[in-house]
Amino acid sequence: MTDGGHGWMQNPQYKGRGEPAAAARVTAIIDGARQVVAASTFLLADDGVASALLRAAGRGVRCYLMLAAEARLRRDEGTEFERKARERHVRTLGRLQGAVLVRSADEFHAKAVVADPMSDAPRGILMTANLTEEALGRNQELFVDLTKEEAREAGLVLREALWERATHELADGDLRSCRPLGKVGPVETDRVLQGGSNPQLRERLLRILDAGPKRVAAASFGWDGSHPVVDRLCRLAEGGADVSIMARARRPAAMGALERLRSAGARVVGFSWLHAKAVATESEAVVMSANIEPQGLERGFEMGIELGGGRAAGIMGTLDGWASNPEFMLSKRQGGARPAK
Amino acid sequence: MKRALGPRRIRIGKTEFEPAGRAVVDIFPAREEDALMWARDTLARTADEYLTREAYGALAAKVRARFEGFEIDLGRRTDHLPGGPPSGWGDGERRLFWLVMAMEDWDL
Repeated sequence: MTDGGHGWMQNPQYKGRGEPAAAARVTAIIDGARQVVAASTFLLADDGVASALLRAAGRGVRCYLMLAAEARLRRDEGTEFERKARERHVRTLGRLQGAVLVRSADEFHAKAVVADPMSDAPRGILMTANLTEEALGRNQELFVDLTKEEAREAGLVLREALWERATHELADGDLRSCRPLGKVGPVETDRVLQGGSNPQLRERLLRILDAGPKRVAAASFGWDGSHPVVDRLCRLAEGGADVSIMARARRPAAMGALERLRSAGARVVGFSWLHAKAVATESEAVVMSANIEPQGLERGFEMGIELGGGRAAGIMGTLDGWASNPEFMLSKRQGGARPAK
Repeated sequence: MKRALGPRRIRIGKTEFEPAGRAVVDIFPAREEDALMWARDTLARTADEYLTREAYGALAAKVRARFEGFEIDLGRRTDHLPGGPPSGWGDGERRLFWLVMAMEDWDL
């Protein structure tokens, strides 16, 4: 391990990669659609996904795209990387102009692609990733293929988002405001969890952690040190549970939470491009779009899914794989060294 | 062509389609003759280009919906509808396309 800065020790043996089949899994959903595709993402900057949407429109499938913050994207400056990503996003939307209905809401952060949601054979995938080349090919992200009932529920959530939560609609390169339809009421879901202003996701996470698991793996891009989920994770670690924490390395805003977790006894590892959000125990897992912080679990609009059995074990296996091959590990003190186990 | 139509209602009578596929459209209150022409042309082009004669009949089963202050009665979607509005359609025409499709696709 070498000093990676900001309290992180870098693992020179690290060999990271994204999920190689992710893009293919997403485009397979779109290519299989017969009537409707609904997708939600913060940014859309993947040529393969855009081409799949155009193929779908060409064969008579209506494509609805829900963006998190089109209005915000157009006014934010951000970093150079973010600016380039936004430029590719705008170019991609230009490709789709006229073929896809694009709506947006600042608060919407859920990420999913669903085909034929109102039919008797819906299909879908719930993701932690945005539909960008980086997210689909480089980042540590999680992708969950949905069952028919889960895809139906995800479709209902997107339906409400598109027609009740959207604040803007994009047409002819022109972003204009739009009003709620006023016909789609709040959706009650069981398998697909709604988060943010809806407490369902947060309550499910707390219930899982309050059950006293012996092993927990939790991943999130953003962390808040005073969040109740962090409280529970610390309590479990202090009580002797095996707690592994995965985070985006070198994000100052998260360091307070990560230091607190490490001090409680959790093993905290970091990655340059981790973007996954999940909590997994030996028997259950929740994969979600929400970061473990108030903007995610108390505010905004997020989507997640609770998994059991083999699917939960699969998520735990993925998180274990990341934790056992960390790019960075949080040292005991800022700038101090902590040998890799 | 962008035009704020405001709340109004378009009604397609269940058998009121001319042989050439021209839909007879009533808009009321008929505040603007232009609006009538716009709606008629839009709906007629949809029918001419994408709906079979059987689909014209399917339009008779009217759907009442309300969307963004724009109330419209149209027929049930058929399998003959396109994935997106044709290129060359104006802003208002495309908007109507998506209004109609959304009502059908999402059971609004």
